Amino acid sequence: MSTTDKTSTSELKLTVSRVLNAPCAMVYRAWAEPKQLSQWFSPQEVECKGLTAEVKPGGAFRIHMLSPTKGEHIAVGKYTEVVPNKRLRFTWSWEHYAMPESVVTVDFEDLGKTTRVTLTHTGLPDQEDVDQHTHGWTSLVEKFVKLMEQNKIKA
Amino acid sequence: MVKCSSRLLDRTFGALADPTRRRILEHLTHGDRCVTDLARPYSMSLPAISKHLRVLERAGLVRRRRDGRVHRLKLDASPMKDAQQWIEEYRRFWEERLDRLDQYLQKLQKENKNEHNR
Repeated sequence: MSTTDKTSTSELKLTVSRVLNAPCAMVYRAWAEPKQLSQWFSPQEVECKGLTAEVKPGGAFRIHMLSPTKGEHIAVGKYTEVVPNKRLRFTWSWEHYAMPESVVTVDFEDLGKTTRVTLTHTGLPDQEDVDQHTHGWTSLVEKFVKLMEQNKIKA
Repeated sequence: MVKCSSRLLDRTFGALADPTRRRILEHLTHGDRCVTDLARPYSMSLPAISKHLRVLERAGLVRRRRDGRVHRLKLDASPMKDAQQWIEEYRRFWEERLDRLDQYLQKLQKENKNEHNR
């Protein structure tokens, strides 16, 4: 069983949520144990060349992916929040590529035999910004999108 | 993969992170304005507002038209499209990861069951 219940794209952050047919502790371990993480984190066509992850606050991760079609990519970041069976939060960026750091939060909700995983990815440079500015930014983008639809401003 | 566009997007994020700049953009959604119009509601000096406007122009969110001595400013929402693309690409990226996680967990549980029955 796997359903995508909610996928929000109308804001400048995205949320993907799934109910997975496995107990919460098992789902959490799949994220928190590097050996398990490397088993599933790469898409099938991509080879996971190497994955290191120190899953504790301040711990770093590095995921080296090699795809025949898309080339070589290295995702890097640091864990900022680690609450077993509840939440993982980490920063996210690409090595050798100048992009502002984004923040990923993965929440685990124990539903008995199943588990809801809710992943939120926010594209603001730092956490302080996320907390302080998400609202203002979000409403502004909504306004933009509305105006674009009405062709009032150039898009 | 999700590297998405460019430095332009980087600049869009930077430009939007500041509340004053977001208010300026908000103001421009009502129509074109000149620099003094924009400075007035914030009781800001012209150099201060000009600094914010330069950041917005570099991000491609604002265009400037010179009308004699008057500089008129106009909103341009196209960089927002890059932001939308960023969202779409990452959404696909994480959906794909969750598909794989789902498959992995099914396989893991099957293996555990087989081991248990052995």
